[in-house]
Amino acid sequence: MPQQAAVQIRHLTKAIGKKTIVDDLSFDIPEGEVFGFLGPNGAGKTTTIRMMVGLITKTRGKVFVYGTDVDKDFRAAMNRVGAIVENPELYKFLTGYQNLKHFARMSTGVGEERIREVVKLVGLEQRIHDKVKTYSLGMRQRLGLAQALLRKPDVLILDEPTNGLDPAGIRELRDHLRTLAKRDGVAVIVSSHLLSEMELMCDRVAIIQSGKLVDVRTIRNGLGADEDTEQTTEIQVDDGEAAVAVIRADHAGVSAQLQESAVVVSVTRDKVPEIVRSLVVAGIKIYAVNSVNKSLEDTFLEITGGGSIGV
Amino acid sequence: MFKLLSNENMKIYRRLRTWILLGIILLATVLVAVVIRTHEQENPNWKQTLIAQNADLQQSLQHDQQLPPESRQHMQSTIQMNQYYIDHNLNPTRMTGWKFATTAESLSALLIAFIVVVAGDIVASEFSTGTIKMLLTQTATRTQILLSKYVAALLHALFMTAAMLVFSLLCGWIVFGMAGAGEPQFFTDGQGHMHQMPVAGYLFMHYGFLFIEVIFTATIAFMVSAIFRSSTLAITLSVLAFFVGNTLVAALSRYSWVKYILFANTDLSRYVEGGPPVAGMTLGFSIIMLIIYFVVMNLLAWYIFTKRDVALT
Repeated sequence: MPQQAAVQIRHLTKAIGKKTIVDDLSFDIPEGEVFGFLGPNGAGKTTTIRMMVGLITKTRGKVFVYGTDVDKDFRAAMNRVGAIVENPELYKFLTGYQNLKHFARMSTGVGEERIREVVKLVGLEQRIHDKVKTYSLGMRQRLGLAQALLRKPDVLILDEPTNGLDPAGIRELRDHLRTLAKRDGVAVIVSSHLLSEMELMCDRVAIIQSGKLVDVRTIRNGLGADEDTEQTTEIQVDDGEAAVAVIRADHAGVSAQLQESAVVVSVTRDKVPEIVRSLVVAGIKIYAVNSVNKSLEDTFLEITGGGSIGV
Repeated sequence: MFKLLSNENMKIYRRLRTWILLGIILLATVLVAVVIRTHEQENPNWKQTLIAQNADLQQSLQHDQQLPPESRQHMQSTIQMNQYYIDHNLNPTRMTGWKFATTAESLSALLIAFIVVVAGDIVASEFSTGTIKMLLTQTATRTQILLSKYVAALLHALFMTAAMLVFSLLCGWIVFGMAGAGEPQFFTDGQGHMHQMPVAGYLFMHYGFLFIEVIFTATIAFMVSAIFRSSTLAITLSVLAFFVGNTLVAALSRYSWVKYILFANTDLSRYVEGGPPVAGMTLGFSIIMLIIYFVVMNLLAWYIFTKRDVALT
C-alpha cells in the first residue's frame, strides 16, 4: 500500500555554541506508522522532538507536516499535530475536564462533544471532574493523551511516553497507539531509550547516537511485519541436536543452529508453523517459540555499549 | 484570542490564591476602619479651636518678618481652609465614609504587592510547572499567548484595584455613614497654592492615578517573569523596584537625571498635589517617559518570550 509521508524531516540540525546536538537528520514518517526514535540518553531525541513542535529553534533544516513547513505556518501545521513532550504537565489546581477545556479552547473546532469522546477513549469518565492533583501518574498520562488527541491529530508525537508508567500502563498505552495508527491512520512518533519497549510498540525505528542518524530499521515482530523477509526465531526444545537434525532434514535451505538450549532458525514468517509441526511430528518437546530481532539489538548494543553518551 | 484570554482568566480565578489575596485586602480595610473608629475623638469645640488657630496664624504673619515666603503662603492657605470650615459649619475632625475611603487608599502598597504576585507568576509558573510545553504545542502562536497573558494580568490588576475601592467605600459607609460626598477636600499644589474639590471626586481621581502606578508595576513584574521565567525573581524584583525606586527617587531628587527613572514618573498625582519629585518636570514629560518605558518593557518581554528556546527541563 503506497503511504503518504505524514512528516518529513530534512537536514534537521541543532547546534548550541560549538556543540552539535542534532546533526543533519533526514527521514520520512508515513501515515499509519508507529515510528520510534531510539537512542541512549543524551543522543538528541528530545531535542529533535522539541524542534519538530517548535519549542526550540532549528539551526538548520526543515520539518514538514503533510507538506506544511512548521516554521512557515506554525498554526496550520500544529493543527494536525498532537504532542506530549516528556511528562504530561497539566494544571494541577484545575480538574481534568477544565484542563481539556483549556486546551480545546486553544484549538479550532473542538467542542464539548469531542472532549467527552476523548475522555471516554482514554477511560477517565469516572474521575474527569476531580482535580488533577489527586490523579495518579497513570491517570495524568491518560489525560495527557486525551489532550493530544483533542484535535483528532494526523500526527501524534510522544516523547518518552512510558516514563514512570507501570507495566499495565505501558501495555495500555501501546495498545492505544497501535490502534490509532492502524485504525485511524495516525502517524505516531515516539522516543525512548528502551529497546524492548520500542520493539513492542513500533513499526520502524530510527537509531540515533550523538545526534546522528545511525540506522532506520523495520521491526519484524508479527504485527505489521514484512511477510517476505527472513526473521530470526528461537525455539526452546528438550533435545537441541535432534531438533537441528530434523529441521535440516525436513526443510532444505533453512539455516538452523544450536545456541545453548535453543535452536535458532532464520526463516520467513509463514515457514515457522511448518518447522514447529515437523518438530512435533518428530516427538521433540517444544517449550517456547520466540521471534527475536538480533540485528536490531546488536546494532543498539554496539552503540550504547560503547559508553560514549552523546559526546 | 478571546478564547485564550478566557483560558488565562480561568487559570487566575480558579486558583484559591487569587481569592486569598483579595480576602486579605478586604480584611486590612476592615481593620483600618475598626482602628479609626475606636480611636476617633471628635472635638466638640472644634470651631473654637479653629478660630484660635487662625488668630495665632494671623499674629505670626503680621509680626514675624523673617518668615520665608513658602511658609507665609502655607499659613495663609491654612487660614483660608479653617475659615471655610467655620463659615460652612463643617467639622473637619468628623470622619465620613468618603474620607475614610481616601485614607484607606494608603493600603495601595499591599494592593500593588498582591497584583505583582499574580502578574509575576502568570508566565513564570507555566515554566516552573512545565505546562509551557503543552501551551506552546497547541495552535496558538507565542505572541498570542503572551498577549493574552498580559491582558489577563492587567484585567486582574483592574479587578483588584476596583475591589479595593469598593471595599473601602462599603466599609466607610457602614462604619462612618454615606453622607459627605460633596464635602471639600483641600490640598496644595507644587507651588504651594491651596485647592479644593469634593471628596468623592478627589477619591476617584486618586484611584485613577493609582491605577497608572499599578499598571507599571504589574508590567515590570510581567516583563521579568517573561524574560527570566522565575516567579520568585519577578515578584521580588518588582516589589523591590517599587519600594526602593520610590525611596531612591525621593532621596536623589536634587539630581536632575533622576527624572528619567521610571518611578519618578509613575505617580502622576503629584502634578495635582505636592509637586513633581524633581524640579522642572512637567506632566507632558512624565507621560512621554511612561509611554517609552511601557513600549520598551513590552517589546523586551515579547522579543525574548517569542525567540528563546524552551530548553530541556
